[in-house]
Amino acid sequence: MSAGNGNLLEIEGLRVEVEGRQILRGLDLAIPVGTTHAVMGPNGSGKSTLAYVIAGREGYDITGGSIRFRGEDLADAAPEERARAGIFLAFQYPVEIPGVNNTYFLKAAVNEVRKHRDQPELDAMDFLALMRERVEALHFDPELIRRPVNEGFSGGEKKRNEILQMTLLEPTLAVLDETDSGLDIDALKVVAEGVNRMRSPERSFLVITHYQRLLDHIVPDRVHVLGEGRIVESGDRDLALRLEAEGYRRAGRATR
Amino acid sequence: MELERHYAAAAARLPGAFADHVARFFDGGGFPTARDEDWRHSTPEVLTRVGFEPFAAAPRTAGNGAGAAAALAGTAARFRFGPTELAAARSWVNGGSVPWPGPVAENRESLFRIGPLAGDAAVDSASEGAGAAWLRQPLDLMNRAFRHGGAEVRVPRGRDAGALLLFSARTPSAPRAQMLHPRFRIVLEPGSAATVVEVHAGDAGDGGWTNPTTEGRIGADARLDYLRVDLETGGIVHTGRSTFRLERGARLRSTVLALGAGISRSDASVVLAGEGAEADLNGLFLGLGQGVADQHTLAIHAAPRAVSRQLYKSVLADASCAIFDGKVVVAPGAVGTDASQANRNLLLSEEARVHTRPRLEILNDDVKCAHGAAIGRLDENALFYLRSRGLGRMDAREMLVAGFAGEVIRNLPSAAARELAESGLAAIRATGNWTA
Repeated sequence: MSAGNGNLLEIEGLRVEVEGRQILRGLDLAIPVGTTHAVMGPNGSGKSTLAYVIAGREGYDITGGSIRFRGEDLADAAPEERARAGIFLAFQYPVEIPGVNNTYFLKAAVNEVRKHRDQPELDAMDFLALMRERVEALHFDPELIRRPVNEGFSGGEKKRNEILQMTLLEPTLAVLDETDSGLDIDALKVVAEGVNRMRSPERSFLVITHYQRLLDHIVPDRVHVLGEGRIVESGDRDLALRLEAEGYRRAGRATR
Repeated sequence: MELERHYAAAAARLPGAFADHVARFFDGGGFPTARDEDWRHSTPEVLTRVGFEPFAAAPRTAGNGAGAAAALAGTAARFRFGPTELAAARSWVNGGSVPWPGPVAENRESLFRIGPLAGDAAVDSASEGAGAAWLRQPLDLMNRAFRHGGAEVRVPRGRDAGALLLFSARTPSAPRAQMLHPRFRIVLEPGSAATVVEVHAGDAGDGGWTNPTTEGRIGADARLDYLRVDLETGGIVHTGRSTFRLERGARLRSTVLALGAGISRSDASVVLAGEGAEADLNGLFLGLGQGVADQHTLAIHAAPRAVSRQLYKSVLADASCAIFDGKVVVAPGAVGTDASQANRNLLLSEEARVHTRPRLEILNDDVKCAHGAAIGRLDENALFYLRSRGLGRMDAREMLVAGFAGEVIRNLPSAAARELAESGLAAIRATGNWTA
């Protein structure tokens, strides 16, 4: 299941360049299986870069260090291989895809992932039943699953669609990139409930956020502060409350 | 001069006073050249490389029954119409009438009145009050001079006639490149409704020219769903046009589907002559090989509060080329006009090319007009998004291409046509060498 040390994700000394700019500068992060970690940090600290490099986005070049998932190095794995292996990224800005029906897309994705996990593919009936159940649990507007992917969705609807995808794809590591941005408090609660229902001893979450507000609803086991491309401070959830009170500027001074 | 003599000689063999038309054709400038504004991105010189021969007159072609029926069955097989999808069907091979080999619903034929074109098309159009406009459209003039094959279709007042197929096929040219000029007239009487699917199919072997014309009138509150499909291959130059006149409250949806790998020029024109008329002009080109689709539109708003929407899309693989030249003209009295025009192109290879020119000509202030053109490659953000959900790179690309084309495909008025378009997408997938 995981590497011998119990870590689902292990990042060591990770250096990442985007378009020739160094964004991550020696980042270390270990997420044990079954835990929820939060990464917080100011704008420009490298939060989204961390999310994208875990998901395998092209153009995010690893120039040093490593990312291991279940003990395997991810550097050469395509995004789809990571998804099939159990990594899920909830996008900060979900992409609108005109002309591609949401249900059709989700069924194709779910069956692709199931195929690679040696699970039987779902036929149309079974998939729709599963979808209906997950849609209801998230108070997702059923009309939206018939529309093209994210097209014309409000900010909150897009974020719910991300969580819907997560509940359907059943990843072992879910990375939530600023899933709280653009959500009102009701939508935030629905999204948090969706995540909390999925928490289990086999599954880990990496919750990336600017504000600690989300962490009132998705309570993390560990909190890390990202600054200038590396983790500058780590602690329990009280660290998030302290950051809220003091701002990011003081973070990491004690450890540096 | 040589071409002029060639066509004059060809016209002299036809019944009637066709020599006159051909003389006027050359008086009016004759074949277009690349210097014509209207043809500048296309390759009109393919029309003048040889003097095309007309097909033999209908009786002799029809006499060649077994061969023609076999040729028709070959191309007709690409359309899988359901047993009740068509209310009626007419088909031609090389301009000669041949029975349609596919299924047609029983007892619905009489919903349409289908017969040969009444009278002389040229004289009729002149008396329609269009003036001598067709004289300035040389290829329409050639169609009138050499017209061969085609029909007049009438849907009686208030009747919902269902779907009619007009299928014109051709066999390989021999021994010389041949030209085919089918002509159709579609008349919907007030309050009636119909779907008309017009197909041009076939393989010319070593080249040929197909130059169909469709003209139509849609009466008050009548509805026409019109689809023209160009499926010609084997070096055929296809130059097709349609012109519809819409009366008060009439509705038209016109779609041009170009799937051939040859050179295809299409002109879709609509005159919104009655108040509140509404027209959609759609187009889809799935480009392969050296295929060229030169797509022109013209929406003339002549009456108040009419609506026109144009959506032309191209998916371009290999070294294919799409040209879009669309125009909206709003007359001074056409207040409350609502017109939109969009041309979107998806390039899948470095060699593919696009020329696009959306145009508006607005002669009053009380209008709502929007137009735009886009040329792009597959969206990297969207590709990453789909792949991050587990879809393979190629599957993700195919899904995006299908989504792009789907906007036109899902509105095609026939299941068989949608299936055909899907097979066109499959052919694009099979090129596999997408560089974008």
